Amino acid sequence: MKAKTYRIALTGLLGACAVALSYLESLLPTAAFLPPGAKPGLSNLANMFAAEVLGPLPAFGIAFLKAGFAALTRGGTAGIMSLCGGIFSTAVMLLLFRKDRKLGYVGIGVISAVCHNLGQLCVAAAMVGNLSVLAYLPALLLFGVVAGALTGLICRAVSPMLRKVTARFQIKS
Amino acid sequence: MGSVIRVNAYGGTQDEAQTLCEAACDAVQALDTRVLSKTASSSELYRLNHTDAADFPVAVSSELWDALAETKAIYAHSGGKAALASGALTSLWGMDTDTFRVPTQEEIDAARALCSDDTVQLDAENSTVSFAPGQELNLGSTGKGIGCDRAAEILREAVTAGTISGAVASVGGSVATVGSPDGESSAWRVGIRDPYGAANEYFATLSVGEAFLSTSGSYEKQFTENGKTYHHILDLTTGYPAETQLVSVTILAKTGLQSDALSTLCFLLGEAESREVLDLYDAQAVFVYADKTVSATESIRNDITLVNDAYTWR
Amino acid sequence: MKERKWISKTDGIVLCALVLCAAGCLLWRAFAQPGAVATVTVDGETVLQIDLQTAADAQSYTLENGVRLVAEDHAVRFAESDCPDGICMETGAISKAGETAACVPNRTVVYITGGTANDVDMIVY
Repeated sequence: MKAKTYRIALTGLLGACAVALSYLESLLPTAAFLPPGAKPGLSNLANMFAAEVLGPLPAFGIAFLKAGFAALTRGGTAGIMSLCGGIFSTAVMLLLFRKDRKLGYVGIGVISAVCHNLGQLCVAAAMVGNLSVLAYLPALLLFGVVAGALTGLICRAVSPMLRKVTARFQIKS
Repeated sequence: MGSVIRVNAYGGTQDEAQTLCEAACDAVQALDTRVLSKTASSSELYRLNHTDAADFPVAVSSELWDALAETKAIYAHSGGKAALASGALTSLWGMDTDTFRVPTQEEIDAARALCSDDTVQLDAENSTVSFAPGQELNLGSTGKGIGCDRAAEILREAVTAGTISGAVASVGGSVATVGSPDGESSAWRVGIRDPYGAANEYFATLSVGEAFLSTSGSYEKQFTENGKTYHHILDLTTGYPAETQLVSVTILAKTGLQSDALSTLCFLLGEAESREVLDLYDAQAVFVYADKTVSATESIRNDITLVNDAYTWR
Repeated sequence: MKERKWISKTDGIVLCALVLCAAGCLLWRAFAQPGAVATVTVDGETVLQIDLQTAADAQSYTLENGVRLVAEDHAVRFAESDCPDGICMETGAISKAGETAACVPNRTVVYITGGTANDVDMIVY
């Protein structure tokens, strides 16, 4: 199999994983102490891995795929919010994986999760034309730290295995 | 009257609102210095009080005559506790000039003799006034309300013209609400001053439509002499500040003058004896007692929210 | 190339900073006063103001966009909305100054203000 074909296939697989994780999360009830609609965002795992190993195009591709899924299942508003959060956090992930050597997986996971929430919140504020929704920011920050750390840890655990596979197909990260 | 005048207009452009507020404030100020003030030598009332008794009856402006007549009419329900001609006694206590002192019993007795409204003649037909030598007419307890009436007049014109959706005016604590905050049916929220709190603190909120509100409270203009604290609401039957369990009475009435006069009257009469006159003027009242219990006339009870936990319904 | 760490010292600093920042905000919010007025905006325009201090018995407000709000027990909540995820209704009742509930698909926000002296139109004294 050619490297390019493999890359496309893997992107598709990761995208499918992301969508599946999104769906599973949507089944979870929201805990009382969490901001309404807050989800752990485990599907960011796919973005994170793509950002680390596959490069910008697959990473953004997955963000778009997730947004499309959100739009189909939860309406256009959810789609736009997912898109903006996804693009912002993916961009930050890419940047951190490329340029930064000091942060660990947990750090990158946390920062990208927080960026995801921030992106969504800003879009929400713009859409409703009212800054008062930023009141959710502290709770979302706190939640983003927990969820992001979890994502980072899982990514670190899974990453070597996936890396091994990709190495076989000479995919350069 | 040396009162703070505040006007807030809603629903217009900032410039229009600003202009309007200034116009309303100026009009109230002018009314005071031109007509109502007891102490400013420029006012009609001052000149009237300083008219030689030989020249009575003397003709006055309809503005002043109406104010005098209605004040007298309302205080006629006081059983002698309040009067239009209370000036001799309020001057004696220094109430008009904020130079308080406790007079001697002889001084008080002499001044009390001059405070009866029976000798005050108001002739409607010729718009004239006469009273006994030594008497002083006093609009101190209704002037703020009359100011509110004047402000409300100007503000109502602006609401009718569509310049603003509504406005709220305060003349020395008496409040007039005109129109509505947003041009729809929403109510105004008026806070009732906490008698034991700072000037910007209120113990209850009252939601009202268009209304005039005044409060008389013993917390205002207090002074202490020889360890005893005196307030400014004089009972003419004793010549001393009223002895009462009440600390404040707030009235909601049809005009500013009525609300202002009735708040003083009801403070002097007490809750039970106020019912009749409140009914007569179709006015509502909130009574606050020294033990921080509160009562109110039936029809506004549900519009009142106690926002300070220390206060409870009676 | 050196393997990226699971967790680094920098991670720790970032984590602590974020947690402290968020916790500070939440702590400060915990002492918020019960609010006096709920303001409802659609597309950024104020369409309704509800006096929460007098809102004891349930009162229902239906907005032009079909969203229904209920004010009850000095708190306000989204009671009905055609949005796909129903997050606005999940938010539940809000009552403290600074609290917000939003229905983004319907561009509708409810936020609570006040609880202090500037909260009345005028004080009578």
